Amino acid sequence: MAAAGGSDDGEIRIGLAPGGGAAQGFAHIAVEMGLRPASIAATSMGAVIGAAYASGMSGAEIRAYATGVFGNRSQFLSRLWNVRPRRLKDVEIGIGQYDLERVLKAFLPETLPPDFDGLHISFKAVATDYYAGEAAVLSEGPLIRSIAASAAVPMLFRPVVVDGRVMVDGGLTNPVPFDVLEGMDIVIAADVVTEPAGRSDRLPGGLESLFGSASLLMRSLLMAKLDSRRPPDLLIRLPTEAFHVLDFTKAIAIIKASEAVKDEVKRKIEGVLASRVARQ
Amino acid sequence: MSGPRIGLALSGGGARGLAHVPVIEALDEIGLRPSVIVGTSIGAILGAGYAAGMSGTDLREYAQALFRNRTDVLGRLWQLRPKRMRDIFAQGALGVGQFEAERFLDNFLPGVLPRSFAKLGTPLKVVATDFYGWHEVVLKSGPLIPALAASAALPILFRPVRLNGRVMVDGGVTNPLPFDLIEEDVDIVIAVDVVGGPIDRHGRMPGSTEAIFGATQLLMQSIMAEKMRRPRPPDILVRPPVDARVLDFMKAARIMEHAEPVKDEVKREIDRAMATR
Repeated sequence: MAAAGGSDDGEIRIGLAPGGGAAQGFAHIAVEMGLRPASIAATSMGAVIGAAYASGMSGAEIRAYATGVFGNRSQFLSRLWNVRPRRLKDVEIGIGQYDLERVLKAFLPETLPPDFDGLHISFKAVATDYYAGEAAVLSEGPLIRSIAASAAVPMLFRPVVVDGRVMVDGGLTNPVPFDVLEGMDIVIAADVVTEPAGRSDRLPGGLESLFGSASLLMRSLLMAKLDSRRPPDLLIRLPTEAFHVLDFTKAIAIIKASEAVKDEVKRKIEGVLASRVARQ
Repeated sequence: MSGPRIGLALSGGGARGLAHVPVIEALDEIGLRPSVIVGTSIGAILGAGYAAGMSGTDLREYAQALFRNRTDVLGRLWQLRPKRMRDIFAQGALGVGQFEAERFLDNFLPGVLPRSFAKLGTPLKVVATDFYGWHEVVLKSGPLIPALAASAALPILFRPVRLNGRVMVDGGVTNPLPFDLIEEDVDIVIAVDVVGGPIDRHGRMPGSTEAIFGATQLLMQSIMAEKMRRPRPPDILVRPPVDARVLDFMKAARIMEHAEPVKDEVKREIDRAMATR
């Protein structure tokens, strides 16, 4: 008999759980190179990249696509302009009113299937049911709407309605959803939550404190989860602290930064795989 | 025989935290006094009043008097930060907080609070968050008011607070309901959660400022839920009924009245906890 959760053909089933972190999510690309997970559960920006990966794009293809879209500042800005809030009321309110489903339709590759059904790898996007106050695991139906729900950070985007439920960013309830994966032999989680960086002799400004505190809340939640549940086999923390959470256009620099840990990450994954094979 | 030794943990929650007061009154009514109090944010502030010797009724009367007169409250706020009034109260705008928490507390807290933790009648620990250090900080000695200011410096309202050479923000960011700080030998740990969350009004989409408060509440709820899964959850967890939002301080009297049913619950739960010991 195969080890618990092992597939019939004896292949080791790898589950991948990339967390949120807006632009920093691009760093996941580096991790995803050279790995073919059996299942992906992802939150926020991790879900954006995770869905592209589950649709059959390779890490290199995702990287090339991101570089094309975000490497060109004027193209990025013109796409953003096209999805700007239309209603005067939204503009007056200004903050937090971008429609993320429209933004993603404008930015994501057209090769993404319309529904979860069309994906090659089992994929779950974790969002937060705003009024129920709990995580919602989305694994069927319209794909882009579900990704939008998973990544709808309240400070930037309007909530997304899925099946009549008001959804916001999954990071509020499950920033790194390693516990959502079931029946895997090995679970690899990737955390790119960006904590405040700076010197204690300088007081952060209002928005900086607000964003920094949101990151720290998610960090506290992740730490509490690692304490209270079976931890993942490998938790990778990607060194993206230097980048601002909103800095989508720095995708390229972020990919390069995570490049630095790629070898280390690969070695760790090989280590986990080897110890698991030895145990079988 | 003396009564059970109680450890009391009070959560953050802004104005919703006034619902802690009936819980304290319930303890007064059955003649129990905690041997240790821990708190975060508004829970730290009310816990400090309690630890300084104020009764639940004292706390209620103080809060009622403080928030009875809207003009008076606005006057106090005006003195603190006249230039920012528009930002704070502008409808729909993000009033990104630049109030100074310590000056704010100096103006609003009762004069009976001592200057330092050491002068409190009951041991008190309050939680703040080290912003650049990314961890919780437990404050239990030294100057009291700066510690309470750090514990309650919620970024959407207040500037971060400099304390002991570190930059601090609201303790709720790392530990919204710090029952795990009660290490003392007590018989019963009582935790009071008033964090709350978004309230569904017929599926209406929340506005952006509302969604930011709601998101913060959800994150704190998620942290508390994980901590409740640990080996030693509190013996008694109560969630007083609260029908107010984080900034509804002007509804102080109503919040405390509305939470009244929690008194019986607290008394019942203490009886039950004692019976099963």
